[in-house]
Amino acid sequence: MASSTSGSSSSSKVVKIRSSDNENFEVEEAAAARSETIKKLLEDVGDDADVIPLPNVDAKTLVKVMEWCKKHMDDVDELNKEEMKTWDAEFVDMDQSCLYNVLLAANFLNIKELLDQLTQKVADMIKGKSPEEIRATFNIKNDFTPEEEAEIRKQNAWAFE
Amino acid sequence: MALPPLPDDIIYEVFTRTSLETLRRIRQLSKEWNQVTYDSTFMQQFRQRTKTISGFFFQNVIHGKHRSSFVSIDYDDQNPEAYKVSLSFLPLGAFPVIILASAPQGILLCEKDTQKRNVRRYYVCKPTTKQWQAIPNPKTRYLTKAIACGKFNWLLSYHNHIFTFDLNTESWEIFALPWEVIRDECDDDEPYDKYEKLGQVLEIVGCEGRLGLVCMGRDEECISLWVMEEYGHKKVWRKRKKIGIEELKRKEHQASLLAFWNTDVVLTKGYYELIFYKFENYCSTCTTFSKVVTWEESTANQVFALESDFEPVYLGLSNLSQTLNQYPLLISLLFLLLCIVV
Repeated sequence: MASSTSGSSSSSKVVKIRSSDNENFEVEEAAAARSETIKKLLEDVGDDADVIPLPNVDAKTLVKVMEWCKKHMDDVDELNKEEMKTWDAEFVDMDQSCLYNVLLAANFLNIKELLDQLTQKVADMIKGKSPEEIRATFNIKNDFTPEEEAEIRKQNAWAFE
Repeated sequence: MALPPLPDDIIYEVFTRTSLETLRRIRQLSKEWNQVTYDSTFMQQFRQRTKTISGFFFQNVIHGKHRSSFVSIDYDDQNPEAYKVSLSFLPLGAFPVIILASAPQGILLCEKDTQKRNVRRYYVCKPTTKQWQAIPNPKTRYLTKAIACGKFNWLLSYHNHIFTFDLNTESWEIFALPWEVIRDECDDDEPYDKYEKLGQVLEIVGCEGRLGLVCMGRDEECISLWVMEEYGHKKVWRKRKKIGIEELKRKEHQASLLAFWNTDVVLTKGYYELIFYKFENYCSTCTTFSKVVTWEESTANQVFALESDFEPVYLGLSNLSQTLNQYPLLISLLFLLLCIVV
């Protein structure tokens, strides 16, 4: 059941990673090392690593994350910057539950750049939303009394809406 | 499908990437998030990530003329222009612009003399987007200092009172300072000039979106902050914190408090130096970071906090002035023509 996502350059080293639902993936080391967590694990186990288990990430999410890592494997030169920007914008354009899963995975795998892009995406999503909608988005409990809430709303009123 | 809950540190990251417009909604979410967004660490990240500037307009009077300049809290050696804000876009004419108050969302209320004696014009403007709008003249006879926290507030110099004007309802109200403060003031055996006394020891500041009142202790070793709570029909002054300032005094003996920049940072002024004084848990072991300023800024007697994005704002009334603003050449030509005709 092993599915391969290794790149075209056969010369580069390949590492095996395993998702929470026990699917194995083969990824180029350079791509996998975008994740600080995997990089650290690789350093720890050395060359005799068999499969790196990632118990917090399911297969569907891992495919997404590795897709990003492969794209961001090499340093981007100036010419490709615009193209990369478009690609990134399309990449983060996913449904909310998928976005959350990838975000949690990026957090666990410690991929800073991806985390930045995803948190920015969520931030853009809540722009213009009401406090009630934002609370629902993040499961935040409103602990203000109605009086306090009215006061806070007043404090944060703008003269020119 | 249920969404997986996000941990708080990710939500924190998300919130630092929103906008000033969204930030005021985030402040309404819960008590915890309300507190977090006033923290200086949060705000520093927020400004870096959202292209938001924060700082103070310093205003002073030199040879009878008002001057103002902007000092930003952040700086970028590579791009110093990014933190420059000025009022030069306003239709100055020969008369200087006087800043009266600053409001959230990066809005300033300004005043300008006109050619007619004792006739002044009032403007609201957003310096970052160079937008401005003339407003009808309010009466401001007793003005000493104004702070906007949803409303414009003036500390009345003669009466131990605060005058507040609500822009939305166009209504005004006068209410008293905390009784303890007034009593403290009067609890002195020595006779004193009440006006002098109040002018020296009291400042009104904006604090967490509320109206705050800062009192310097008699021994000048601590300052206390009062905050107006229940800012509705019922008003209650609550003593929020007492901050020891011995540390600060050691660093700069002449330091005087100018403003609360955040709930944990106050802006103070020394000789040729602005000191941002960060205190934690009311204690006096604090970190300070200072910024050297020009003589004009260091002698400023008024400061106006400005926190602003670069989004255009609709300033109400008509768009005429905005249109004119875009054609300065046209205005100067019109002005020239008028002068010739007259």
